Amino acid sequence: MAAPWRQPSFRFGAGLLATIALVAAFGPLVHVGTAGQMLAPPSWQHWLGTDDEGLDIATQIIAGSRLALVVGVGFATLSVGLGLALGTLAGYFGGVPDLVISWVADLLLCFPGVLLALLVVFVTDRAGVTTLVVTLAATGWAGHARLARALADKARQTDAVVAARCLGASHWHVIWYYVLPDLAGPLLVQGTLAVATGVLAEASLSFLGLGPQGTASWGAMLEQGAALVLRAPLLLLAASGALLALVTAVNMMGDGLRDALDPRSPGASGSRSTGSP
Amino acid sequence: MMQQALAAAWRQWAGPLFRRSVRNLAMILGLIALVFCAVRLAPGDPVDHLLGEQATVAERAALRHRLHLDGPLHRQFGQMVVEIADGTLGTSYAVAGQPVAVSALIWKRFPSTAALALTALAIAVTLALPLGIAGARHANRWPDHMGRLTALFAVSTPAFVSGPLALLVFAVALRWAPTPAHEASELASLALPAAVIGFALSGRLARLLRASLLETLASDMALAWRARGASERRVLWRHALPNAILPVLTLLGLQLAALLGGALVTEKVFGRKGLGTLLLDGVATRDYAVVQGCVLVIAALYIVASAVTQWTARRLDPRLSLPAVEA
Repeated sequence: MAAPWRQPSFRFGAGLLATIALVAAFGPLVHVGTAGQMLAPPSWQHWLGTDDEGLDIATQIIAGSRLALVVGVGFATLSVGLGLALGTLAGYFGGVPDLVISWVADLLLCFPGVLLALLVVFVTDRAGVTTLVVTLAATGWAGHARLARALADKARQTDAVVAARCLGASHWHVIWYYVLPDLAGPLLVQGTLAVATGVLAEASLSFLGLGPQGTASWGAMLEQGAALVLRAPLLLLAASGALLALVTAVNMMGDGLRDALDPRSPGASGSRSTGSP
Repeated sequence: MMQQALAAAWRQWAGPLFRRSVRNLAMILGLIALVFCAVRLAPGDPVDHLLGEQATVAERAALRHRLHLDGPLHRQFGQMVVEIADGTLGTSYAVAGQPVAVSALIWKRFPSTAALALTALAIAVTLALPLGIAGARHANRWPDHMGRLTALFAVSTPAFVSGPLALLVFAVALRWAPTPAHEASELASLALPAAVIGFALSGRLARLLRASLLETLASDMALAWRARGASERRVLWRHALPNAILPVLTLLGLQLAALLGGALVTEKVFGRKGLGTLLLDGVATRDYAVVQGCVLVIAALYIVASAVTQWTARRLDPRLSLPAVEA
């Protein structure tokens, strides 16, 4: 797996993500802004100033990065895990499991954007972070399942699988040693990109006033910052910058991973040829 | 003879159409059931939200009866299907206790949302076509790098970042566009939100178009045309573009469907009275009828639009109707 490192975009994205993770992990040790004057300008006590409740903006950005990373990584892990399991089941076994799983996945894909998550959040009346992650994953696995299903269906028909079955290998052995390795690469790419999806979904819901309560969120800060844009522009700018940095970092890593895993990818750059005739 | 012709027609036309219609119908029924369950599972009583704490038991019972919440669940589900079939989509009592059909509320908001969606789409296509084509034409040289950077920026910037920033720059600092607080002509207040959505969408379209074009330009078909002496320009415009545009059209169809369902964030940022804000207001006031109606309409629009898009794609590209061939 040294290949992704040869992609400049992957290196850049990974570096940026590592920086954000470090800030999220150790930021509170370095900078703890206590509440102070309302709408104070940047100073040594308040690196980015304060908002209309006197809360330190830099501290909130750091707290928001924790929420964003937890939701993003949690969503990616859960949704890809669920999609991988259900999609492999559907693609490998076919028949009734395939019909049921594909139907549910298609149903979930009818809801554009965060609509379904919004419905569930409405129903659960703004629950905590765990509920949010589970909700997003329960409504966001369908795309991954569709990919896993297609790949598993293809892998199932290879000669290697037929030979293994003829030699008496069990279904689980075949899935583990022949099917899943084929799925690992593409789903790793999807999982990386899903981190960005999760971060954006949390920020959208928070922006719409439906995010988890009790923690600072970049989405909520953006909503607040849009209202205070003339009196505290740093609130809007800092929250936008943080969000864009995280989403761009993850997207660049995903693009780099995809290029590294697929030499024929149109975006492939670097030492290898693009495979054109 | 006649029988064979009929059988052939069934295989080619009616059969797939019938199968797809059944599938979409099952999808819409599943959708109704899903929304029904979700709203019924909600904690809290919609009657409490509508009447407040002081209402008498009799008032509660009367409202509960009017909302059809006093029957068994299967009767409630039947009632919901009836309301969908007769086109009212349920009744909202949130506005000063007056009964209003949810469909009337949706219809009133739809023109604003549709205008935004179509303008945004036009902007997106105008930006994405040159960006994607130039990117493929000059792949891995500077126009391509600039285009990819722009597209990446557009894709990575969500509407709740670009919206307020655009307001700050164009409405507050430059005063080119009206702020949501000011009354302005429809056209003037449409420009900025449409540009925000259009820009974001153009990034996705341009990336897809570039990738699709590069793949087509590297295909044996393009090689064959070059071998016959066709100029690179002719290969690109006459042969590669028509072949490469299809995935872009598919994405456009789905995006139009998503936009017609209301741009939640953009409508909120720019204070527009569209479908998205109708849904958000319904969520804020816990108006179950409105939330249920909006979610149903948005998702149903999406199902219909993707069916139409798929059908159009098959008409445009007969290869899609062929049984899958092993690569």
